[in-house]
Amino acid sequence: MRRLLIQRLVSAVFVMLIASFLSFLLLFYAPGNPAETIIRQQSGLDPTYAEIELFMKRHDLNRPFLVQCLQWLYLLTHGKLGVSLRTGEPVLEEFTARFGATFQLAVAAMALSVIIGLPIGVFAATKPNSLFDHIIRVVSLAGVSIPEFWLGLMLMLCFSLALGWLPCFGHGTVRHLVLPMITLAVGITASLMRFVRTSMLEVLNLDYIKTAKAKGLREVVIVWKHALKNALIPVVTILGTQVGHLLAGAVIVETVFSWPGIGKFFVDSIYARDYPVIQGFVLIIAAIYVLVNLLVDILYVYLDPRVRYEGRS
Amino acid sequence: MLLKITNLRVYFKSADGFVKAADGVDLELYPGEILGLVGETGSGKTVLGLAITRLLPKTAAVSGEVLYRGQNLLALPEEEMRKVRGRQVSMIFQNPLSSLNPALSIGEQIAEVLREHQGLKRKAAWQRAGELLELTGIPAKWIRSYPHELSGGMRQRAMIAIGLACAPSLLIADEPTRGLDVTIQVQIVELLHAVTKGVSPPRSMLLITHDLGVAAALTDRLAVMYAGKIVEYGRTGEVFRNPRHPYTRALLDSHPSNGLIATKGFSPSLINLPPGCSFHPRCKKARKKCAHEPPLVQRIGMDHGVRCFYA
Ligand SMILES: Nc1ncnc2c1ncn2[C@@H]1O[C@H](COP(=O)(O)OP(=O)(O)OP(=O)(O)O)[C@@H](O)[C@H]1O
Ligand SMILES: [Mg+2]
Repeated sequence: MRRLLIQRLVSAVFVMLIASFLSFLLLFYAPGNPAETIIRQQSGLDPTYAEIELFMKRHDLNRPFLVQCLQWLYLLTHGKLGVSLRTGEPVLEEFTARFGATFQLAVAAMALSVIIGLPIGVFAATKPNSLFDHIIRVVSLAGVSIPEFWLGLMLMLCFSLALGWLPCFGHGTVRHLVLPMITLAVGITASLMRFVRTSMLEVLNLDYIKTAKAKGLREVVIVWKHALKNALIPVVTILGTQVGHLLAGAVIVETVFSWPGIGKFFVDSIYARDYPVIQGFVLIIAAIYVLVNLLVDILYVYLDPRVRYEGRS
Repeated sequence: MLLKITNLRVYFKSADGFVKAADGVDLELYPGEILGLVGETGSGKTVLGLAITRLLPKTAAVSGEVLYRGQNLLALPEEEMRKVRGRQVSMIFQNPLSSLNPALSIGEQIAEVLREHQGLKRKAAWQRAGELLELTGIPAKWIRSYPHELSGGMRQRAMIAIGLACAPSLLIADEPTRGLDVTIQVQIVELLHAVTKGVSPPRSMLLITHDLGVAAALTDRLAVMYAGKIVEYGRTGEVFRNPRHPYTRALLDSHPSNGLIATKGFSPSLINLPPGCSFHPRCKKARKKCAHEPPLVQRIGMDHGVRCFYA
């Protein structure tokens, strides 16, 4: 267990650094200039050449690529992520101020996916090739292929504009949460359903399920205890990787619904070429990703006694 | 009579036709008796065991009668059948590693049967599970261990403990000694003897096995199966001393280590069984009649029957 932790932490540091380095590299060589965009945003006027020069100089933006990288690393070793070019606030503060909203959205969407996707996947597996199973297969295929922005707009159109049941955008009450949560949850629910179904079908064919039947246990016990406990093991691993999809989806959903989370701020920062924000956010998000997967590994050990055993010996 | 099987047929539908895994099986099992079921691989022994407990997949078409204490199990509603399983009739499968749930402790796998069938509360069930482990030779302190933490022999003991949990009157054991070391095999045979003959009243067991040594050591009577049919049955000593079916003779002469392939030639495809006697293409004594007419069982003595014209 301890070795696993150390391995994970070491690889985490590498993943985080490489991710922020790559994002910086891509943006640095992409067209567009932070000075121009940001000055225009702040003053509303087209900047002069001198203004741009001054801005670049003040933020060390005209140094060579590698030098800027090293500067950033140097700051990082001192626990700093720099300040946003747009707002002038420290990147970390910009992040923490918004992360709560994103966290709320992500957790709500994940919970909804598990509550809906898990039982449906289990039911579909207990009646393979039934009408229900076929319907679920089509629905989940649709679910994974629908783009979030389109789904978000359709839900908005239907439930807030046409029916007027729910607010279109904003943040604060549970009613505000409903549409973004559903939009974000649909894709994950769909893939979760399929993973659970496949995994359950595999397990239900194994010898120990026959043993459970021979013991005269009830169908519910066989399915929800004997089969599910084993079927969940691979599903949990998949859920960990879904966190990546979740965060990517959150960026889109937040933009569509003007949800005040890190996603929307991140997209705005990309348009503005706000390098410190982009690098800092990528670093933190990578850290979260690694952390969640570490939690998944711990959960995995809890679920699968065979791994627990190996860890002990 | 505890169990009376009459004209049991199990056909599996396949692309090429029906696989006749059991084709008119008649068997009787008396209270307190151990009946051995032997035959080469693929002859339908496991299918027969699964048919009794109705654990065959839905693709199996089952007909005939399985009377348990006078009640036809094949006609029982599923919910009633569920209450028979594990409580009246227990099945012990071969390969305990894959037959035990890897995600549950052995204590839990025993205790849940007691909670289900005897309505025991959690604590009482675990208490009893510990006793059952001790009874089958596993230290009770291992109650929380998982199947992979046990040796092959210990796993088989745990399987037996599960099967015995609700004190069923019939135990169906499918090759309980397969894949174990010889010394462990001896211990399992002793354990099986203790939990059947050693309790009062003695418990019945249908013992499916490849191992004629195990059959000789444990069983009171023996049934020999070939291509979905019982070809000979009788008291174990009588069958060993005086085998009357050519297949039984070949079986007794064969070496147990080769999967009980008794004689040269392949076992017949269960889809296209040879006409007449299924065994005639491999039989040294086959005559013209054997290729045309299926032999019926002839009684050739007290409780000794043979499915052969020239026995
Ligand atoms: N679910 C199934 N679908 C189709 N055919 C099956 C099924 N189960 C068993 N069979 C067939 O039934 C026949 C009898 O199988 P069974 O497992 O009963 O043999 P066995 O006597 O137990 O052999 P072994 O000694 O190898 O365990 C085999 O030909 C097998 O292929
Ligand atoms: Mg078998």
